[in-house]
Amino acid sequence: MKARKEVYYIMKRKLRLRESYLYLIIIIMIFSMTACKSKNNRGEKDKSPVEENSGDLGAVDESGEKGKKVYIKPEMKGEISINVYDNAEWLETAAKLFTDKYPEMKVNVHVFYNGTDINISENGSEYSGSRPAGETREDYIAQLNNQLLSGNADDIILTSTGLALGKLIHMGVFEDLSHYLEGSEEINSDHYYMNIFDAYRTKKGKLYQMPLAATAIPLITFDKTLINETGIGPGEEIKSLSLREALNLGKDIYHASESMTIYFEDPRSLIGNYFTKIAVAGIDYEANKVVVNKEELLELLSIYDELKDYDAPPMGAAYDEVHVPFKIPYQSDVEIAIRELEGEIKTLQYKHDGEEVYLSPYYSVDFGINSKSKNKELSWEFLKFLASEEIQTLPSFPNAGINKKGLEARVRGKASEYNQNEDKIKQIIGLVDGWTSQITAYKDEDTDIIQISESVFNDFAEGNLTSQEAIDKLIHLLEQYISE
Amino acid sequence: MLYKKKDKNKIKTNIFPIIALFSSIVGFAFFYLIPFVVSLVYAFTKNPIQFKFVGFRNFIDLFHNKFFILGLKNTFIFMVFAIPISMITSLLLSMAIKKLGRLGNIFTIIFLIPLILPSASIARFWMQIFDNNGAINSILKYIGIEGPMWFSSKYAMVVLVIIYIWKNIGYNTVLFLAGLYGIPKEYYNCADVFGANNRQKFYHVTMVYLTPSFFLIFIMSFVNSFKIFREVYFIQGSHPHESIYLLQHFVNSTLLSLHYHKLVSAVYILTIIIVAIVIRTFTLENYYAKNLMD
Repeated sequence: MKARKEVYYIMKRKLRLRESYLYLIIIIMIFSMTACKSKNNRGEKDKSPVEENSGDLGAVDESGEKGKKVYIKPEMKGEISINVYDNAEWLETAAKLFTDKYPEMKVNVHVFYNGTDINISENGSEYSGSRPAGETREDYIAQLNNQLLSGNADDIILTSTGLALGKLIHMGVFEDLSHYLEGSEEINSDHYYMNIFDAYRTKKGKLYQMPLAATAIPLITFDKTLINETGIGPGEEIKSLSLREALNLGKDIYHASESMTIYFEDPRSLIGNYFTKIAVAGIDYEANKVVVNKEELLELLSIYDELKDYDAPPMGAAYDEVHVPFKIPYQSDVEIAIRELEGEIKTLQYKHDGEEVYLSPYYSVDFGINSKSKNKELSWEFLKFLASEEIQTLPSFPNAGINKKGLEARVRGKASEYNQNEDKIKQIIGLVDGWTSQITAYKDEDTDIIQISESVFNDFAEGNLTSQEAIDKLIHLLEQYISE
Repeated sequence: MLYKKKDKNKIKTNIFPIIALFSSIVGFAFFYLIPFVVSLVYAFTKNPIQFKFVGFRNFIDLFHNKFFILGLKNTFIFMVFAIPISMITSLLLSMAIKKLGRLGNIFTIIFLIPLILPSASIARFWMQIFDNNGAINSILKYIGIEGPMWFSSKYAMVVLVIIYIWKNIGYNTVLFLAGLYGIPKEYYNCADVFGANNRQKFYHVTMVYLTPSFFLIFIMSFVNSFKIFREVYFIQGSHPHESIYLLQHFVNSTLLSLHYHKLVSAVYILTIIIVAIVIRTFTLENYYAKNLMD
């Protein structure tokens, strides 16, 4: 009897186990059917999470056009938060001015690093040092990622910090600001460089960042002394040049000049920078593929090979005797404008991809609105305030350019440091305004892509890879980056 | 009644081990098991920001992901070469050490040293050996051969296998030694009586009675093979040469780029494979052990 009972319990347990297997199979079949349904829908154009995210905002406009988003200014009452890495004095001032203007608003500024980059050595001299562990840019990005994932990120996030912006946009982290911009009539071409807003748009015309500051760097400068001596240089009607065009002119000048000692600048820094730009331009997050222009890369690497032969001055040459046919300088646009007006150089905008004039991301100050924010409209109002003349003319504002008056104030301030008179200042403003107006493209440069392209280019420059191997390796690593 | 009484006695005798293990089990559950199970939800969503249910799509997409497949392939190739070579080398070494008697203990200690060294030190050491201008290439250059770029070529896998063997040989040797010392001498005496030569003794006595050790060492080697990622990461970072791009690179990178849906899908697939292999190994071991006892 007892043995029979034991057998009964054992059989019952086995039956339960088989039932569990059956339930598991049924669940898997249900999930598979769901997956199949998703796969069938993939025959249509696969909606990115970004498009899905921005489908439920705003109201239907008066014309009744279905789905068109319209921005309506909210009641200025509430609390928003903004997250930056460092250098936030201007932002704290702006927050205070904003809350003075709208007393029922509160703006919380969260600054990750509040220290200084200036260290004091034992003998009392100052030197700039690296930031302490736990407070580096990488730590900031790690913290930001955690906040985004846990849903605790701030309403407004600084995007110009080397974030993997393309990936984050594709995941739907940032709000599309297009309809906010369209609904803000005060942001127009009379007061703002609308070409920069257009430069920030994605291929599909979406805008995920609010550009607040910009400079016209990079520029190409030609040595006027050499142009006058040889009679060779860019024509007056030419406003922008590609690197190949500049190199050809530079070589013509080099070969034509007899009396001057000349050489090209270090080609590694010159070419490496543009190698990265091509790498960044080749990533299509929407299609999840890499479409790097191989011919352009080959061209760039062949330029590097050519420049290598010219990169050292002759032995014993005095520094002030040495002229460089063309440079892509690291000075500010104001300093370059001053040198142009003094007749030292001729300046042109750098043309990339044959057509586009690039804005360097290194000097930009951009913000995005968190797609999970509950205060998007209020956040937009604050961003508009940051772009206004009142804030952009603050002495502590880092760089400027999106607001025309702000750019003028910055240029005026910088030019005054060089003791320029009013006429000269106006000319400088005219030059910088012209360069800024030519900007047609912007490419974010996330730190990971920079590291990838720099490592590949350095391998090539050191002779470890041929041009084709370098390109293949770059494409492979970029594909790896977007696949992971 | 008899059945229930048996259970009660079992619990009574095991009460102390249960209490002793309780804290470890709780810790394991809290820090590993529960997060592992809870994170499964990410595998069925589009991405961690847009929590849209997509069924098994992430798993299907994973098998269309070139780099997941590459990682899986490289990890498999590494294991296929590293584990058997490591086991065979360890076995031969243990047999040699056994013959040395007391002197063998010194060699055992020497071979165990790599096991206690930090991964960063090991990586640094081997980077120096296999660097483009390192010791190996210098020797090759001396004899007129141009050495390859070891870490940036298809030979990177060879270096990886060497590092793995060097690191784990001591551990496996100790386990084999324990197995060898566990074989009763009477079996060898018996084999001698029947006129068996060394080869026959090796196959019919040593290999047979080392079978449980083989399975144990296989499982340990299998688990340890995943740890080679640490050295690879120190040497080549997140973007190694494609011949040494392992599955953990894919997992690590998806974690850093917040693609938790890909991460969890890959981890669950890897877990299923590991569990399947380990269970299969245990069942085979039980089968062979049973035959051995018979």
